[in-house]
Amino acid sequence: MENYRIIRTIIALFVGIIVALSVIQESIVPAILAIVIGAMISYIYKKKTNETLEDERIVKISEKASRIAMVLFSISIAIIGLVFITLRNEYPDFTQAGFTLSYSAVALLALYYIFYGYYNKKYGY
Amino acid sequence: MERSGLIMKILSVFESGLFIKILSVFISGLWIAGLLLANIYIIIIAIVLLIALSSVLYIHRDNLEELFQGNSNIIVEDERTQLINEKAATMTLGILIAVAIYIGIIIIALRNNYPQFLLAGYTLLLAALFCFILYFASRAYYSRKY
Repeated sequence: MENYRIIRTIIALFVGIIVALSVIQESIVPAILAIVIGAMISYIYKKKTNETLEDERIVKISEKASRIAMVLFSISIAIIGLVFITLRNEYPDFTQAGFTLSYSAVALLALYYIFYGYYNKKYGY
Repeated sequence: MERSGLIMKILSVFESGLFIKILSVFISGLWIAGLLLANIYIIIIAIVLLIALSSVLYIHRDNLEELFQGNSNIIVEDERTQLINEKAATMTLGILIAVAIYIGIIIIALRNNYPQFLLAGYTLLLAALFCFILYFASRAYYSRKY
């Protein structure tokens, strides 16, 4: 588990640096390549290793954390988006940010209901 | 004594299911009105009312079914729905953060071709960062709890 954590940190650092550099250089290809390579290395290591990468307690904590984070995040972005859109006459520059946040909230809810339906089918009805 | 009884009766109206339902509809109306009229004060009133409503619901979180008696649509969570909720939230959050970061990076990298979308790119990256912070804060909380 410790090795996996170290490898994951190194991959995240590598991807972060490459993405930052590609954004500075205004070129999209290195960023996409870095993300794909990072995901591939992580996936291959997960498949090959015999270490216990996650125990039940960590999975449970992660799921509970995701749920509360998702609830807080969706409420926050919906309200912030709404405030930005409402202030369109005073601060027209932020209207685009408001719409982006609102669409993100809609996407979040849509995704959530899709997965809810999927897991609902998987675990019962 | 009689007076305090009357006050308690009046206060209990604010905790009744019907009042809460009416208040929810009213708050939704305020959101829409504020948005259409571009008036931030209406939105602030809606937020204040929402906080008040959330506190009442939080106080009565254990007997929400009683509070909304007669409404068969109220879902009382059991272990199965809790499991489904948690799994769905994990997947949703993971995918949303990844997609937000990817789209944000793409938009920022293409800033010379599409400069009009630059703010959307930064907004997506900031939203993903905010979501990460929320996730790690709640993860730290639950790690300590369990």
